[in-house]
Amino acid sequence: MIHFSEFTLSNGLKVIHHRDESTPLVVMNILYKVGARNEDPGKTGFAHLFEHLMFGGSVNIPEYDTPLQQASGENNAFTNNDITNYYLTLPAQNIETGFWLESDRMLSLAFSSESLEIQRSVVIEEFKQRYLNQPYGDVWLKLRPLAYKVHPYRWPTIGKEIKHIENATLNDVKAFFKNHYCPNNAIMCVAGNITLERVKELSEKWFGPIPAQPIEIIELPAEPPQQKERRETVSAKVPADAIYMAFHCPGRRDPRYYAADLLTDILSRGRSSRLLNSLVKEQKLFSEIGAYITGDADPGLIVIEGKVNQGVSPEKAEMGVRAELTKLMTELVSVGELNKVKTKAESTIVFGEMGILNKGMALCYATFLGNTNLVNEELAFYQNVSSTDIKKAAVDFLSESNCSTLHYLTERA
Amino acid sequence: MTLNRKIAPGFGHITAFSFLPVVASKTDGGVPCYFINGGDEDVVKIDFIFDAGSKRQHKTCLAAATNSLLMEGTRQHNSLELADKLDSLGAFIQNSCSADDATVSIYSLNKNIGLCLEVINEIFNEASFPEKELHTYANTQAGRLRISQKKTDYLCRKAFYASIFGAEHPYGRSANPEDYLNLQREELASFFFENYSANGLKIICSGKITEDIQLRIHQLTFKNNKLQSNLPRFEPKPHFNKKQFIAHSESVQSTIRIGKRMFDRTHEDYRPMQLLNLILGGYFGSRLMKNIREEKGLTYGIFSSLESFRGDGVFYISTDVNNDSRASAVNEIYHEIERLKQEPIPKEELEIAKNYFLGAFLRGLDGAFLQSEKAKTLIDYNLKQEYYTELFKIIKETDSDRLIYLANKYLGNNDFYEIICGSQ
Repeated sequence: MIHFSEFTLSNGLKVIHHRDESTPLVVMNILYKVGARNEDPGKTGFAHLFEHLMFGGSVNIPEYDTPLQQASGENNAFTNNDITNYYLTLPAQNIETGFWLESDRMLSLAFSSESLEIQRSVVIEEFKQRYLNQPYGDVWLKLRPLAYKVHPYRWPTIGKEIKHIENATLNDVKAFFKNHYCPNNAIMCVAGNITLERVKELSEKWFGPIPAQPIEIIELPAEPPQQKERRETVSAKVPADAIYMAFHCPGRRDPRYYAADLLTDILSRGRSSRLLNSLVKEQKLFSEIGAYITGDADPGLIVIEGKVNQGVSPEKAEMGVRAELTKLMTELVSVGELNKVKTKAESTIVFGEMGILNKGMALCYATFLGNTNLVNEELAFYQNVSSTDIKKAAVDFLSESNCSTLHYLTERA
Repeated sequence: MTLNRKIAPGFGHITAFSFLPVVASKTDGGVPCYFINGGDEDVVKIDFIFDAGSKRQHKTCLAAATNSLLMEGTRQHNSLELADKLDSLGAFIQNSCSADDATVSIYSLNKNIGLCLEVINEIFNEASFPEKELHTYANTQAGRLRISQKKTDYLCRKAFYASIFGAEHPYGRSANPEDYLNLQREELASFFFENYSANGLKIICSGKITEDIQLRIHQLTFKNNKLQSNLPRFEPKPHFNKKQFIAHSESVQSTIRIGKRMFDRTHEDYRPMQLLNLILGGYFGSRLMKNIREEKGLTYGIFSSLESFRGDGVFYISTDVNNDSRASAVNEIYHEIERLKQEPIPKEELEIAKNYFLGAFLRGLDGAFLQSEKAKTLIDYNLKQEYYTELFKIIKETDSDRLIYLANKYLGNNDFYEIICGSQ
């Protein structure tokens, strides 16, 4: 159970407070409701590039990191398809430094062209290091456009191609800031050894004067239901054939999300899970295999990915997966097996929320989804899933016609 | 009153660290155990640390395989039955094996810890290392290793340790896929018998610790009380050639690692060297990050690290850059090292580094689980709690002269190994 209070400033900034007197620290987490899905299809990778530019100095403060480090603080940020999330940790006594820094960059950036040039090359190196210089590193660059034809989830956060990052201009940066970075498009959580009164006082002082901005809400195109299976085969210098299967499934706000999530747990959570025992240990089709749900705000994907054993054809390996999926569509899972994944979900929630940083992030994300108290209600949603719900989820989501399959094969010379 | 956003709010300095008490006791059978009680959540973490690291193996991968296969069958239960029990309890089990030790950690909800400990105790007393589970494990690990062997950072790291310690030394050794495939179940069983003994075992328990949990831990029984053999002395056989280029065709980036042998954390200069390391490449505001990432944009990241093993250690700088930026990145790295030896560190930079250092340490003490890691370090190296209280004082007192002295003493250019992996 996470106790919290919420209030909203007159400029629309949502603020959440969680108190923990056992820590000497305070965390400030700020979620901006903008991610790669909000990008122009011709300018992808921009939300993430922008995240880098948020550290290049703001209107009144030439450098973000130095004053924070001076006050014994640490920070970082991440971007995904839905959100951009910034967080910092400071000794409790120094938290005002965080309010000062974060409010100034919400107010306005320095927009230096030098910073753009540098961060452009840093991000290009990141693109190479994480997506191109790793075996299978570019799989999401291939899988996303196979699974999505319309919705902006069809490109990854890093962007469709390096070219889009190369082409970004300072005007693009300014426009992006104006459209997305404002108090009425942000959620802030201050968690740790700090009182609610102090959070209110500091929020009013530093964030209160920042004007709200008109935000143009652009309705994102919904991905139409997939009618028939999609396949693609690629090859590269990788040591083993790999199979990726992506199925459309509900987003994080859909009540059916919880059954879909537990479905992937039955498939691959823990050493007793089905895919490992059947396909790796018994049938020896794969050297490893996993299943997970992307957990996006809009309808996302259930993904099954495995490395095929040498001497096994990818077709045969895929049939093995299919057979396991068919079982889930035709047979009810036992109460014991279902309870097992529910208990695991419970301990994942408990362990996942240890520490004030995790709590701060979870609170902001739940608010983003529309209900801050989801952090406390979520467990009940998992506990209410029945064996029939699991079977229905399997029938609804794991059919062949709902699947995009990518065979990522070893290049044969 | 208008707000002046150009002026930073005042801030205070960290004046002390506060530690949760580490309560030492022994199980009824005499195994040392340590309890670190803290936190509101009803969860607990228990580390079982055996003197069964790869220093004790006579065959590559044997120690790691034994550690992983512990969970894969006992005389009474097969792998699936064990996994099913632990998963049903919502427990997370983590196996890890280093050159120095082998650890099994359980994370459990308090309400299920009793049943978890029963399973764990059965495993430690009766692990059976089934042939078919070994086969699966070896196949999976070999597959993963083949993937790693395609990565420039992996190849570079491997060559670095082998160059400094020699490929036969526990800190320099690395595996090939065949090493996993050549393991025999009898070898695992005998490694287990020789080394998973209550004699070398230590237990660290952290989280919300109730009397019941303490009692259950004290009542654990370990049947194997074998005295382990003395470890042989491992002499490093460093590579004569300090510069190595590993060709990896088609890589779009090169990994660079420059570094040397150092000492472990009990050395008198280790703690001030941690500060020097931080200034050079230990945080986002470091000189290397500022120069090579934030000014030149050559890389996504560059860092330096001081790594302690028991009785030994290394210091290194590592980064990934474009193939054609290799030479300039290497030059800049040496340039930054040279500056540490020549120029006093500006007062403000030193203050920021110290404040950051102490802040990072404070974050590392947030909660019982993190504090248990600090306690483990003290236990591993036979250090007293004062080690960390002194650290606070040492960081406060280390001045620029001292750092220049240390840079000259330990960062001599001729000592550095320079390993680069990328395309020609």
